[in-house]
Amino acid sequence: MFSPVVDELISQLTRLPGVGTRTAQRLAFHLLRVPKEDALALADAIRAAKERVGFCRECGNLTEEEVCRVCADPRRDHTVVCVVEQPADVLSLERTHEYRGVYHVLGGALSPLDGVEPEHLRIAALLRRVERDGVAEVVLATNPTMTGEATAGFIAERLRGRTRVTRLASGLPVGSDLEYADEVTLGRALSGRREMA
Amino acid sequence: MGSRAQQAEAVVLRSLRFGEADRILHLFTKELGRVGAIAKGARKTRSRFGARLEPFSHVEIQLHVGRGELATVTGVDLVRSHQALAADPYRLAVGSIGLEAVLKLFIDHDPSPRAFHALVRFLDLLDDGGQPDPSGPDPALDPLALSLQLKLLWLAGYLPHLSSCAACGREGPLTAFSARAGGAVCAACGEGALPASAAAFLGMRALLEQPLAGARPAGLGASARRETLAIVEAVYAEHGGFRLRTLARR
Repeated sequence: MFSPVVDELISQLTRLPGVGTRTAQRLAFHLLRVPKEDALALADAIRAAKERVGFCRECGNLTEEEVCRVCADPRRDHTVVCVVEQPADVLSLERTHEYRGVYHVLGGALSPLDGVEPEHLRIAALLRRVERDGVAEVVLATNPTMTGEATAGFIAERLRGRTRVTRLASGLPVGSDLEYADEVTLGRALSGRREMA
Repeated sequence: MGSRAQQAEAVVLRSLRFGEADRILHLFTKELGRVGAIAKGARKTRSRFGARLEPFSHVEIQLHVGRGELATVTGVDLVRSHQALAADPYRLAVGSIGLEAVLKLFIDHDPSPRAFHALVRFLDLLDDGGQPDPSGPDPALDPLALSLQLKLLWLAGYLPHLSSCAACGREGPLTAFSARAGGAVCAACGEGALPASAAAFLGMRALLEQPLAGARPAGLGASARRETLAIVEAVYAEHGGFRLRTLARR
């Protein structure tokens, strides 16, 4: 409609998640309007990331090396492995400064309706890792969604008797009021209540 | 058509991540049939919707229906979460077959209150967990899943004819199933049809006639259930042109 090159740019942007045709057009026009070096800096960043960033051999997290910083850090506790769905979840847990173990990124969650089965996730690699490294505890930190819970249940079943398996607690957000809590979250907070000394 | 607020009783069939913190939902409602909706901010920890809008949830939902393809969720009250299904891979797999069958067999904005009630009853029975299938670990052969699928085929207008030959009308003996002919066929009309036993046809009729709660106690043999599943899949392929992903692993 505009020119074959602009149409191709819009078409490529439309392939990004959550980007429709209108948004793609807006982004394309923005890129054409900004100084050339700004637009090319974006192109260079995409190229560099695709060429240099891969998956950690140990945990599946994003890294520029063969092994990511967390797995390569000798100060981390390598006998505790926290299992997450996506690399973004590692960042969220690292922001807590509470966790000193290492991670294992599954690459998604089991979802029969979407055709995501165990062999599509890094579950076999996790089981091998637990055996090989003598892991003392696996913390299941998949999302508290139907697919995340199903994935946690599946992994817990396969690790039964091999190591200690724990699940991230579910409950109320800090700073919120009970009266605004939904019944599912509040129910879980109640069933997972802990004793105070 | 102007925009309007709509209250509906719904089961969440599917939930997909969308944008920064939203979810796109496939809902099966009693009043509106299948509906697509967006739940804005549902993935945020402080969302009041998020926990109530997981797949299998039975909810009372308030929607804002505008001119767009998707309605917007404005309020949700939980009727039953059916959360126990996520803790048991077998029940999760059986439940997923039910959700996908509804997703594929019913179109948007074509209400079927009977199909809605069947789905809710199916999920309640699964959630209660009673009467586990004694026959084996294959969720696709669970009588409850087969019974629901046969009832849904009936409600969607694809019920196979089982009492006489669907091709020539002869009363029997019926030896095969032809999805193209629309039901059981006799030996003379059975060329190219799926071989099926009398036990399978009897079993299918029992699953259709009995309520969902009677599906497991009906005691269908493993072989009859395998034949029933093959027939259900043949009907999906012939009349709907699809195959269920949740059955595809077999």
